[in-house]
Amino acid sequence: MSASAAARPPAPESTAGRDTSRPVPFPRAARAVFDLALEGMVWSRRSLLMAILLGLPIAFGLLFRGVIVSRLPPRMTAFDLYGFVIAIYYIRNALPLAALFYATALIADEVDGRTITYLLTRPVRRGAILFGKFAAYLVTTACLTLPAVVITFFLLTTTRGWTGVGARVPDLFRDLGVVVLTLLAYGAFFTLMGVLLRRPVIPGLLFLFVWELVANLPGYMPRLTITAYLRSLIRHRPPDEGLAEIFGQVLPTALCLEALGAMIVVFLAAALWIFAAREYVLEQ
Amino acid sequence: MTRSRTVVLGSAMIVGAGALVALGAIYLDPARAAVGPLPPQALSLPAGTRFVMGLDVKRFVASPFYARYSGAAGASARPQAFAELEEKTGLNPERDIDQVYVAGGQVPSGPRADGLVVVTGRFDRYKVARAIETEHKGVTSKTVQGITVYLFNEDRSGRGTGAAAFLDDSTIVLGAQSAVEQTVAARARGDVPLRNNTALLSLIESVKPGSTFWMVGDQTLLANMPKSLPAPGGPGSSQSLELPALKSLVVTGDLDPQVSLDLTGETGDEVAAKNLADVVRGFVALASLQANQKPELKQLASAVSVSTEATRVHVAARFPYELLDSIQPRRAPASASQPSSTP
Amino acid sequence: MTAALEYVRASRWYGQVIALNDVTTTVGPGVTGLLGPNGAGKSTFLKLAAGQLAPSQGEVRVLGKPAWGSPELFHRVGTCPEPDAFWENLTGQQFLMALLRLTGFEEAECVRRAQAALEQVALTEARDRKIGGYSKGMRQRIKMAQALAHDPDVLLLDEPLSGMDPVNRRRTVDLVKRLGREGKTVLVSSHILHEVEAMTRRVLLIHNGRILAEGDVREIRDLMDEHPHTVALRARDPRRLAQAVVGAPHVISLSFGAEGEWVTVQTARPDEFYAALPEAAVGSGVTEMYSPDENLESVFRYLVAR
Repeated sequence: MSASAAARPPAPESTAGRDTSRPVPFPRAARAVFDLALEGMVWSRRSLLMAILLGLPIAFGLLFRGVIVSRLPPRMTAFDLYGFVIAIYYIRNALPLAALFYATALIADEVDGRTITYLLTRPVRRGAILFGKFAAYLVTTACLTLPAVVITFFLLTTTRGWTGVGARVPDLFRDLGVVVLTLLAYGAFFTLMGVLLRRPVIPGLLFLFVWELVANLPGYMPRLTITAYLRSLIRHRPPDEGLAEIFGQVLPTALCLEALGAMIVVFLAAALWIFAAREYVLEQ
Repeated sequence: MTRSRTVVLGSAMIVGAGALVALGAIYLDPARAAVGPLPPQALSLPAGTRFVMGLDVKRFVASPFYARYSGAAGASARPQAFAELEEKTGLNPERDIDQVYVAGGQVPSGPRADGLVVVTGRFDRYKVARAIETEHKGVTSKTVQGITVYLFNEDRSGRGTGAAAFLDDSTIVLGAQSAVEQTVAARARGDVPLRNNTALLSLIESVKPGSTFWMVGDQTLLANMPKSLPAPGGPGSSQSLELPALKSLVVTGDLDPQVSLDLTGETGDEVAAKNLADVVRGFVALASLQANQKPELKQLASAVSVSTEATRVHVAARFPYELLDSIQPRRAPASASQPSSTP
Repeated sequence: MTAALEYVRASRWYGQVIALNDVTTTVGPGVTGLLGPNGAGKSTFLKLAAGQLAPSQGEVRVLGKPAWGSPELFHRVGTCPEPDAFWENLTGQQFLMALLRLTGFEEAECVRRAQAALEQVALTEARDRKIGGYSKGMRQRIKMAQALAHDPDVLLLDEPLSGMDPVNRRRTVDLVKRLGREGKTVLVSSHILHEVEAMTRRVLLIHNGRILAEGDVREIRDLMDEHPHTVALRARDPRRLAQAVVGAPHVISLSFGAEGEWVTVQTARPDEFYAALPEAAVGSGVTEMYSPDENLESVFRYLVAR
């Protein structure tokens, strides 16, 4: 046993600089959780599927350049198609789904995998755990989405050369911002659902494909959805008939930013409050 | 470096490279950023502009509205006029014009109209210039900051000299000489004077993206609008309804799949908004009461909705083509080229 | 001096099921075995100390602070949970480093401590292999390593020897005993009696959510006055030995072993029996003696059956 005896952890003097009377400082703790969570999130089967889902527009862009462009109706431009990709594919469908499948599982995955115990028996506040995992979700989904948006933009808008692309660039930057906001807003909401419900996926799908349709109603009701604010922030709109009515109201930008910001804060705070008070009893 | 970090770094590099390329495109592309539906070149309009109207010709031509009612002008008249224009200028309005914008600082019918019309599309610049020079009598030209401005001595209505110029290969500006020259000079310098008109720009930004037609006007324009309307007692009534003053007006419309019109007016306060909304509802109700004589009016009235939101009044109207057909006098069947509406 | 673990009238229930019932006890420095059958309340007892559950009633304090809601305690508390669960994509080294970062150590310190912990559990050579490829015993050892890496004062070990081969079992038992000698408070939960016996003589016996007994195994046994004490003696002349002791008033029963050399005596007063034994054993040639009652199993079986 002499070898083991010699290999003891360093004496308590080496804890100098680490205040053991308080939890690990929030930023440091969140960063540690972020690093740990990112490792498992980015390189996973779920991310591979999401990469395909979120990267589909790139394939569409390549197909467009090769085949579809000659068949484009005269009143529809490639930029209109790009707007369709952003407004309908990403903002309305792909990103909320990505948020659903990642954010509802932030804590649930740890519970199902029984690794939650390791996190809860560290000297870190539970808020740091949740925050670190949420940040990892955001970085993961942003890494999968933002490059796809940029590549799709250039694939579609440069179909007939670079003339006029500069005029569209502010839309690209705006869209990137809206993409991040979408991930934040839906991520916060589904994080809350994930800590609140044992089986959050079905209610989440109902929310996305039933409740969010309220955004198409007139009056005040759309303000009770998330998508109404996000749609109002993007400047372009799909050109096809029929979809014209889906867009509904355009809310003021300042209102949208304030409402989304408030939603993100409220949802995350509620998730944190629930997570901090909940006991996680793993069946043995 | 872990695999995850590699992926994150790779993504960041792609986005960063894309951003750099995009910024480079802005720098190299003389076109400036658009504001709402207004293209970058229209930002050269004078800062004193008080109203702007826009028509998306492409959407208009492709709409069921155009297919149904363009034939009403006479099946032979339209093709001939367009054919002549195309022969002289190489321009087919249905094919080559994308957008038309009308802007001005006063009501267009005012004594000192300084309106401008900006047309974007694809032009054979040589042919158009040649047509201007040869087909119109009394046309002169001058150079403003290196750009040729054609002057028309059309003083019949006392409006002063008209002018036209190419802002670039895809944009023509027409209108009062002074306004055209101002616009051309700003464009040549790379200035965007309309950006200084933040009030108007904020109205333009609120236009629903992709609208077929739209109009925004600020307080200056609306100050010239009627302040009162005859009371519903009929023309013979001595009473009148006071209309609350509007601070701004935004109108947007679409023609596909139905005729849609949205008006948003901003009043001074919530009371004024409520009053205005009540006035509009009153007229809608009046129309509905006329239903005995014209039942289709009732449907028209029911297609209009009025709502208020703080100091704003929203009026939304949705008219299916079947309804419009029912209130039109009987006419010849639509042409075979009428497009079918797609979901 | 405040005990490391204190339970003051602590109860915990899940709906209608009482998992821990009005428990008052303390656990101090050294190794303490928490013993009980499955469903006795051992896990609940440990989880309350580990701050994973809040007591429904009463208090549970660790190092003087409430266990629930005091994350800073985990600077000085290490837990080895029972479930065999890991982030399988991490290597052993990465696993320890991640948890050490979560404990607030600087990067260089994390590396040092991770390496030291891996050496303690003899996993140095496997440190760069993914945990997903570890054997059951290796997985158990890496779990021990993460509990030890930050040099805690209190260790809560739930079935620490589960899945280990005899060599590593021995190694872990020695490690636990050493930690106890160093003054750390080590609470080891197990339902395997001889495992706990190998590590400590101090036990907490728990059954149906209640503490049946606590303290030294021998002391517990001695307190069981009503339960006859069994002594087995091996002698060259077992019959002579039997004759010498059978008449004593405190001897309840006497039997001979199957092999003929053993005599098993049941006595109500073991002290008197032991005092009289040397004289009674003269001429019998007693070569061996032991008391089956002084093992945990008999103590536990007796207590559970009451």
